[in-house]
Amino acid sequence: VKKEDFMVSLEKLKNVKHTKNLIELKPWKSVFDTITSPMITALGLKDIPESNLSIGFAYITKPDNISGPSHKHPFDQWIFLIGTPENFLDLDADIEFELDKKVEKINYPCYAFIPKGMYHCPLVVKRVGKPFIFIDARLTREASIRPTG
Amino acid sequence: MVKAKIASFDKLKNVVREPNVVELMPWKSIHPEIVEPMITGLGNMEVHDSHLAMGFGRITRPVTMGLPTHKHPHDQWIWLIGEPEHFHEFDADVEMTLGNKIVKINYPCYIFIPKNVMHCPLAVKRVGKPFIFIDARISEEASVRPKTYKKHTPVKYIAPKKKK
Repeated sequence: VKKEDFMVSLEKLKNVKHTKNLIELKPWKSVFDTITSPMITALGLKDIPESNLSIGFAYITKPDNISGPSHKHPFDQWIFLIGTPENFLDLDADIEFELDKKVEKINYPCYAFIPKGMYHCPLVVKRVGKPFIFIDARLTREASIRPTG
Repeated sequence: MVKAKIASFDKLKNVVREPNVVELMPWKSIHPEIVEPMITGLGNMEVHDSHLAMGFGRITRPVTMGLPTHKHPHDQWIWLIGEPEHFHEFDADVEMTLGNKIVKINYPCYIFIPKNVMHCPLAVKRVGKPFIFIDARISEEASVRPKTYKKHTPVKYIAPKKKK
């Protein structure tokens, strides 16, 4: 089976519900030409009512600008940039990520918290010494709360 | 090269490098079957307002985690997925107690554990290929149940340089 035969676009992605709270993840094809391995994504409320968290996973092997232009939105988001499972700590890449109008240079395993309303992106992978994992996690706007003001 | 000693989870201190950017440091699993270093983002313990805590482990052999059966007042999610070249390929047999059922899993998945639902243990019975285990949880305050949700714009990615 060729990759193209089983990878759909994100718009057509349908994960499979096995029970009320158990979702089988199906592969989809990145819009970025440099991301060739299948992506998987938990679709939050689309998969399960009350599941306020969506998360997508990608395997990055080549430099690219893997984001849109600078933007903001009314929900919290997190980006994880980590090594592969044999050693999650081993991130050998150079990344530039614009966060709150400031470019952060990243060459260590990390996550970035993007509070709702904060401008962010582009996220540019400048160099890949070793392939790594990119994760995009986001809460619903209803769960993006600020109990302490 | 001298291998640095890896901290236990209770001594884990990630490094806040920029106001919202946190370098992840290694910690040692309490399960001897999990040999590679774990990493965990500690949520609002390290960044104010950051309600998501998320930990990652590599599973290479059978192991039972999460004993005893328990519940908590926050939402949690468990991901069981293949290694990065093929996240969607999962070759293992796992049993997880969720509510009053044991679910059997042999496919890449996630499990949503709503607040106050009894769950665990999570028993990895067989490992055909090593896989990634992820434990994600949000704060009690963020574990909301609104009567209605505002319409969310679907996630859309734009590839500025995509070839036609």
